[in-house]
Amino acid sequence: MKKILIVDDHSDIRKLIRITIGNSYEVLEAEDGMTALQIIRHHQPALAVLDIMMPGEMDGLQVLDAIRADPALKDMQVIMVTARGQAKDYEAGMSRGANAYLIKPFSPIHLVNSIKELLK
Amino acid sequence: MSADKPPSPAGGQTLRFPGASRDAALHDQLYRYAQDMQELLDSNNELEQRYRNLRESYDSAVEARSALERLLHAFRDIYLMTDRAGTILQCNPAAVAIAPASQLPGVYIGDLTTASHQESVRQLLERLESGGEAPAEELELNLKSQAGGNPALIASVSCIPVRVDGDLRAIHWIIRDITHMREAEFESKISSLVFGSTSEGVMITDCEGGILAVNPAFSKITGYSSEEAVGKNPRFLQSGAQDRHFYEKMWHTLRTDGHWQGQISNRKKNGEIYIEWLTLTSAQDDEGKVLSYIGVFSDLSRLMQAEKRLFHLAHSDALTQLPNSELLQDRLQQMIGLAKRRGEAFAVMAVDLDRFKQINDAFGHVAGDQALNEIAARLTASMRAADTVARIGGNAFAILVPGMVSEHDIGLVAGKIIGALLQPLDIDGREHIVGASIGVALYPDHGEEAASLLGHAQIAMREAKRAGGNTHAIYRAAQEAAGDAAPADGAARA
Repeated sequence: MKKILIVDDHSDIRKLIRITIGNSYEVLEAEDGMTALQIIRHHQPALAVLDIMMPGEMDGLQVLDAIRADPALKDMQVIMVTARGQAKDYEAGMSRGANAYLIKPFSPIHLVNSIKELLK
Repeated sequence: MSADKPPSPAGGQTLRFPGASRDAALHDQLYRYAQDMQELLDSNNELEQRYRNLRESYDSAVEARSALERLLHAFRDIYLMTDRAGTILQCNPAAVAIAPASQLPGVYIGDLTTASHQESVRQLLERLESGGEAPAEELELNLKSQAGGNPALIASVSCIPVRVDGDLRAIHWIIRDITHMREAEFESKISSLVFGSTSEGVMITDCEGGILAVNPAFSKITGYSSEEAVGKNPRFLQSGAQDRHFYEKMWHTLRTDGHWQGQISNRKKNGEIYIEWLTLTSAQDDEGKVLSYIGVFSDLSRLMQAEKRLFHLAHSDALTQLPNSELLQDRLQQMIGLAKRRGEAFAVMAVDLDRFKQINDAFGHVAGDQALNEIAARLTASMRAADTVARIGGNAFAILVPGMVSEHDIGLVAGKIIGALLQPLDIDGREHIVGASIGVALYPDHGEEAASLLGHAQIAMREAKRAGGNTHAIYRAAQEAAGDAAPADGAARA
């Protein structure tokens, strides 16, 4: 079972995503950027669902930068998630190496399809 | 809603309205989940419907397949399925006519045919492989039977190729045993050849006697064409020579025994009556019901003419065509038998020519033969139809005259004969006269057996010759001694 890391400061949202994909993947969770990076380095998940807006020292984009800067993680897929209408976030995310982009509130079907597509 | 708010740094947002923002985001996400669930439910319903449809199609396909298998199982034709190379994959129970079902899978189909047909199978497979347009192919093959050494069977074969995207995947073979059909065709061909070419007349009628068919020999013998005869009752051929009783008996035998044979007189189209040897046979179905009658007949007229001719040849004198001595003996025996039963009398006359030897000596045998023919004709002309004139030796004749016993009658007849013979014979333009000496013996007074009657007539004839010829003498018992004492033949003294 492939590992997927969910990074969101909102525990209910993480829980929703875990319920949605937990049967098909091994789900890891992180509530901030630093923790996310530690888990990524340790577990090397195949994919991360990464919320951009997070409290703490690293937001989602910074985590993405760190992932893309690490050659050991070059195969890792990243889906960026952000609040509705943040066009600059989308552009920033895609230009910095995200593989897909979801806008909150995201469609769980869309999420599942995106994951399936990226991990094919 | 929070999503409509202008973007703000993540940290700030959390700090300023931590609870409200998080709840709003969760609410929005939950609504989104509910929407997706609605979509999923719809799509699930649709999938369920599709599944039910598929299930139904599948069930009916399974049903059809099982019906097809049952059909193939019960099929009396042989069914084989081979791969594209002709190797048998499966077969139905009817295939046991070729080999036990367990032995067939894996066998190359060409190995089932007789050597002469293996090439046909090879070519067929090649055509199917090269993707011929024909959806099916038909051919006739002779199969070797491996079951119990039965003779090879003639099979009509249909091949149905199974193609997927134009690629040959398998071949269905439907093989029908047509051995009996071919044999029946052969028999029927032979029968119709016989029907058409035999010299015996053949007519086939329905169970009512109406003619269904006649063969060319029928037309040749009777003169009636097939068109004229078909539909009629064979009664139209009747000559009237047989009575009602005859036909009743014939029909009775035919109905009880299934066949009848006999001689029958019929009338040809030209009115001529002919005799045929007729064999009637009834053709019956399994339950004994008459389907038709078959009449086969040969024209006996020619045969009987030939028999007559043979009889004539054996019993007549080759030169004069008169009965010979053998036939005379026969007739004499018959006449004795008849006269004995009826208490009647008759005369036997021995006629010996006088001065005949001189013709042979002077003019040769050809002239002598001519003279004998003329004499035979004169003798016959002198007698009645009921009398028998026979030549029994070189210039010796005998005549049987029924009913003549009085000396007066004998004198008249003898005089008539002598008179006829005394007329000059024209031999090579020269006249010659012969005469005759006639001896007469009477039944029963001078003998009751052929030998004694003839012998006594000859004794009397010699008596007449001794008397100078051109006369007749009636046998007297006293003559016998004189005859015995002087047995010299008349010709020597003539």
